[in-house]
Amino acid sequence: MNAQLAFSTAFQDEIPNYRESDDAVSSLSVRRVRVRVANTRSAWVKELEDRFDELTSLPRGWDGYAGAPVSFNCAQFAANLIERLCINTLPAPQLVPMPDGTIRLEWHMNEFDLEIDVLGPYNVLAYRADLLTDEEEEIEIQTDFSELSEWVSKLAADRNELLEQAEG
Amino acid sequence: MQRPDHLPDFTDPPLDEVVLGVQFAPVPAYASVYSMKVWDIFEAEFPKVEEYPILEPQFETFGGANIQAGPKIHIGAAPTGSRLWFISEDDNHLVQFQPDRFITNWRRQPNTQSYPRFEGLAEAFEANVTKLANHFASDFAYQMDINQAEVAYINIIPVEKFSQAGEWFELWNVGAFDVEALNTSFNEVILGGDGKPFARLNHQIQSVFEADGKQRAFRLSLAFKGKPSGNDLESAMKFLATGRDAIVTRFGEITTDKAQRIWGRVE
Repeated sequence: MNAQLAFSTAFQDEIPNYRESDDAVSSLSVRRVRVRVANTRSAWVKELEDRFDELTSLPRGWDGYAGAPVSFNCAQFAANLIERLCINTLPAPQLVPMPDGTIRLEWHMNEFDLEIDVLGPYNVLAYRADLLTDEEEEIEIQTDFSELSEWVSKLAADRNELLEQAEG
Repeated sequence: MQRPDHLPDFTDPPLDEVVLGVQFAPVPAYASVYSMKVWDIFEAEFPKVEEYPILEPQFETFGGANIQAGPKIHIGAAPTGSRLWFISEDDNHLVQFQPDRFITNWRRQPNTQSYPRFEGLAEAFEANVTKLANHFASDFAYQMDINQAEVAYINIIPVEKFSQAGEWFELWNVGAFDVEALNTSFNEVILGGDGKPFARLNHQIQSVFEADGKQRAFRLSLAFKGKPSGNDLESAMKFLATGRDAIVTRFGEITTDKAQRIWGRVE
């Protein structure tokens, strides 16, 4: 088989939210004809995209000192993190720039404070305070967001019983 | 580096391309004007140049939602800069460079050059990354900080009919159907010795045609990607070796005995 000849796929995929193959590193061109069915984008995705753009474009000294804009690398990884943690019933996290060019994601809801510091790719520090039980936890994460995902899902959990106990 | 004895071996595998790559934190203060100096490093061996769109950063992460079903967040304008291909005279070898990635490809070409085997490719890859790292250190005072590595094997398997998929792959038997086209992909999460996920093995099988629309083939791609245990080149090379091991083992598992006999499996 002559590898120089371009191949065309015999399959046309029309899959909503089809994620393009990561195979772009191959030098063999496989021409794809793909119909991308546009998904209704969540309002908060657009909100986050605007906020990310804003934070990566901050002027140096934005904090009145030597504050650096959020690095593109940090922002990309933070976006990856949000995509993985995303739950449709939750609002978007607040995105807070740090003076050293890193970024923090914050949720303050359901009597939880959840702060996630994205220090760089595969370098994440997460802190959670449960305001009902006064418990605090901190975890370091590189690649596995399973525990952090559980923290985020608790933000949407029904805590009425605990709340009533706290108020009682 | 010696080939591990436990791996399946073939005298004539349908291998068409092998890719080795690393992703690293972008070089501070790097601008595309400096790419000429990078080509200077590789020009003698790779005298031809082509230019392609830049690749976005990739991060293999685990846990949480199904990322394919969720929304995709796009940051900023399209990335500036380009991905440069430095190509050997015989077209068999290729280096891909952009400010945060270095990738090498071996491609089967219609010439007499034989497949140099993973060991040969890995040795060359390590040498070339070292040259690039030394250039970054001397010209930018930057220590290469590797955060992702990948190895991929792409095979082209000529067939008469796509219905013959079951004769080549153990995954299914579609002999009863007149298959017009086939496209399947799945990922396997790879766990380390500590039981924690650290890589993905991506499988893709596609029915393809030659450009003239006559010759049919299956394109089997096996790609191993993830974060090496450390951010140095030695860790990346160990990761690539682990990936090769996983890919070749899986190739032996998902292809049929009949196919492997055709490819000259060494017993």
